Amino acid sequence: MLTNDDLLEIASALQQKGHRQLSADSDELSLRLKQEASLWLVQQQSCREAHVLNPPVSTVSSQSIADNNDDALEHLTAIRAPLPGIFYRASKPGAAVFVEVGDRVGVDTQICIIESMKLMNSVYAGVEGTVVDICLQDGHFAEKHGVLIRVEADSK
Amino acid sequence: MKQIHRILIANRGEIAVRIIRTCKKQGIETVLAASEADLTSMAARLADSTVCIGPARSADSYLNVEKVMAAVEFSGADALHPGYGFLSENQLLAQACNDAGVIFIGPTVAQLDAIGDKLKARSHALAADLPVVPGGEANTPEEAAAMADFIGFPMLIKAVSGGGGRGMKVVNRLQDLDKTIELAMAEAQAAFGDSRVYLERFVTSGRHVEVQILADGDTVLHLGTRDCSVQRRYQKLVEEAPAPALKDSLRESMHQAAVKFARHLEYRGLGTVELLVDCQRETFYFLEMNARIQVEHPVTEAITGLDLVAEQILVAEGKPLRLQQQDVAFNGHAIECRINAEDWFQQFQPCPGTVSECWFPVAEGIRVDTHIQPGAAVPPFYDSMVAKLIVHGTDREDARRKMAGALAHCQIHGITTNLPMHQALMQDPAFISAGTDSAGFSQFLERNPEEVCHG
Repeated sequence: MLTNDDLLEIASALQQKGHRQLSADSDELSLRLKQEASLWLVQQQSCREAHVLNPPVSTVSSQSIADNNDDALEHLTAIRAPLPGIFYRASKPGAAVFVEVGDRVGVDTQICIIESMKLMNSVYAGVEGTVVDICLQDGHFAEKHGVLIRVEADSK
Repeated sequence: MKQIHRILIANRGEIAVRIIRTCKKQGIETVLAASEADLTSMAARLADSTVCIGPARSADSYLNVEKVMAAVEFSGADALHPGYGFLSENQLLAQACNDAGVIFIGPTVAQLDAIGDKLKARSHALAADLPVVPGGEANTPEEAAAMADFIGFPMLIKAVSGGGGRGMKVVNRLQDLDKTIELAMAEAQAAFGDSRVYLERFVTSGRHVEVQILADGDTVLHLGTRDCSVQRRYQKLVEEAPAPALKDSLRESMHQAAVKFARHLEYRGLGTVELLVDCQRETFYFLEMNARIQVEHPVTEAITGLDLVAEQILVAEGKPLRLQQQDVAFNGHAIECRINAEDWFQQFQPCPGTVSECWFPVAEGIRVDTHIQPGAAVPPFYDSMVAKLIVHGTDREDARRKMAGALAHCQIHGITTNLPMHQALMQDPAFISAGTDSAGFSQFLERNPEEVCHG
């Protein structure tokens, strides 16, 4: 990657020659410069592959449950993760879980916590009904919009 | 004295990239200790090599002393740079490095112990004759009620083992004290495995000002002040150097207090003495000391022209400082904005994702420290900071204008960032006039973003 000083030098050379943009690629770096108003902007991308001394054998691609379009689930309401993060069933280790299969939930019933970027986000059922399935294990990763629990909603 | 040849960087994100930059300049080889989520990160691409230290979750990788030490051994590094956060002030890691004959780039284990525990740090501050906020330890509601008499309200409850703003609660009335103390102790136990708490007067109109220290165990230098009062939930968002709106005499006594504290500890390395300036009383108190490089170090680098990571490495090698206090000159004013992947318009909801494009300004006096690039993942497992924009101007107003211009031209796509908040803050009359105190920024947030969106 180029340093701020390198970039200043390049921008000033471009300026002198009356150029408004630059696009340059090497095996290591992809560099873009453009002038907007009177300011130069840069986008740098390192293309070098990391030299990992002990590559992990195989990373489990994801522990979250793929969306299951099984007919049997069609009548259930899926409560999904509003943002990606780690799924916690209780407020802290050892505490009682928020919900268990068979529990009744209301719109404002907290069902879990999703930890994302070091923040704890409460997730609520948003529906009245009975918990039928808890789709993730405590401490596992939830994809954005991934299904957390399924609820049999009360029929209106 | 020992020359460092290969540094293992036990960190990630922009600070790993920043450490690599100095190492390259100094001809030091770098090995990055990275979690599985960071094997294609910019730091991993730039390091000479990378060692995977485990799964994405910090507890299984970046916070795991054994895994980090295994990476040190595996890579044959002769020194470890812990960056900030994670294990940067962890005594076990520092001790493990000592035991393995590897240089820990930081202070001694004894110094980490002296300042890691907030009550110990407070007693060292008293021993070094520094002013501290009225307060003390209280471990029952009864003790707390007795202390409330001389501390007064509002009052702050802090976890002895807390840090980074975690484990703090404000109490406004005596009738809330019992309940809040019990809650604070339970939370401290859960979060830090240590239920001890202490009480402090809560300074309503306070500025968070810190003094950068550089010491070799013998000579102690101060590198001036930084103001970090712009905080949300105790997380810093904007920092500047030097701290604005301080009388020269007050600033000088803060420099001297920080030097005195470091001297008392015979401190070795980079460190920051955090002080709370009571604006109404025109006085200051010792808060704590941070024994690591800090996120906001570039504003000090901008006004002093120093490379703090380079100095830190030299001290770690056992070399005496190559500077004396009179060699440290302060030039102009610098401001840093922390660009975070969070949505200001949705109560700062975190926004992990994948960066599609990111354009940053190139100009004299503008520095960008970042680890994002097109295609970069911003994982949900770590904090939300994606870049630091640092500007250096002739004075505060010049720096502020430059920052406003720079922010307006940054383009980050694929993730939502707090760029709009920084833009609004740089135009905020209270910020423009003299910077803000801790209460001032809360007021700014109450006025915004609604006014910006609809007004």
